[in-house]
Amino acid sequence: MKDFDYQKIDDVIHSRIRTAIMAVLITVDEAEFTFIRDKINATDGNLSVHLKKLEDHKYISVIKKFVNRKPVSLYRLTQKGRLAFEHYIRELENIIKK
Amino acid sequence: MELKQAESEIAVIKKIMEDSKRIAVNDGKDFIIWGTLVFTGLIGTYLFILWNFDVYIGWLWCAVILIGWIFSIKMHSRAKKSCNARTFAGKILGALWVSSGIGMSLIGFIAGAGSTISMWAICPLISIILGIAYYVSGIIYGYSWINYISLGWWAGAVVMFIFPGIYTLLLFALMMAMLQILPGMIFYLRWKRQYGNALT
Repeated sequence: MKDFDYQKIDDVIHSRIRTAIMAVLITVDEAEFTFIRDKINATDGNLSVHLKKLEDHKYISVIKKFVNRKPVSLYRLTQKGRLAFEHYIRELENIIKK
Repeated sequence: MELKQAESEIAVIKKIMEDSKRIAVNDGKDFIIWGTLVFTGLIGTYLFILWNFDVYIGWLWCAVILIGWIFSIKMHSRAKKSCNARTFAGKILGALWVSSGIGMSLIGFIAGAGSTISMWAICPLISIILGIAYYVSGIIYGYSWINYISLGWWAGAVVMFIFPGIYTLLLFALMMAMLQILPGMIFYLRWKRQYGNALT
């Protein structure tokens, strides 16, 4: 394909599961691990790895707390993550337009 | 990345976003409970007036409003604990219905107990507030049929303002059944269909 610059595509987001995580988190204020897992049909282990990668790049933040004595992890998109995801969508749209 | 892959990515993202937004689905229980309580209150008020009972009608409405609020607060605090994601739309809907509920309680109970407004203005005023709440909810949920319900509330308010009297209580009770309890049942059936397996 002409005019396609692979460097413009964000590698952190550009994976089916991480894109899905970002798509879930952009629609909600915050979501529990189980909510994200159920929405994208991922396994616990796989999801944890990808959440960690997004967290390491500061695209998402996590708050761990106890609700009824059970540990709960609440994930939310950071401003950096929101901008990166919007940029990613724009890049996808540019590819389609070309 | 190829064109097909980009299109597929966009399609997946859209689908996930639409699916995640659906957590603002209402279970309709609030609509059914409040509708039934107010319906009972209206029929009770009508009968009290018709049969000239020498009882202060305010006590009936005290009970209606108190039971309604206790139920709503209990149900929402339980739902908040079990909810595993929070949306901005959900927050707006919650704020809309709580503020409308407070407004209706003030009009129906406080204003009704005083003499600043006519007793026959209470039902149409509440009807107008319900119309607003339904209209905004329809926009947030993305269901146009909810917007049509608000037209019903406003049309009913016009009729009750033009033809005040004891029969407005019956008209308002009928509206409560058709425009509050019935939509509540529709919400409940949709919610049950969507979350049927997770019902407690």
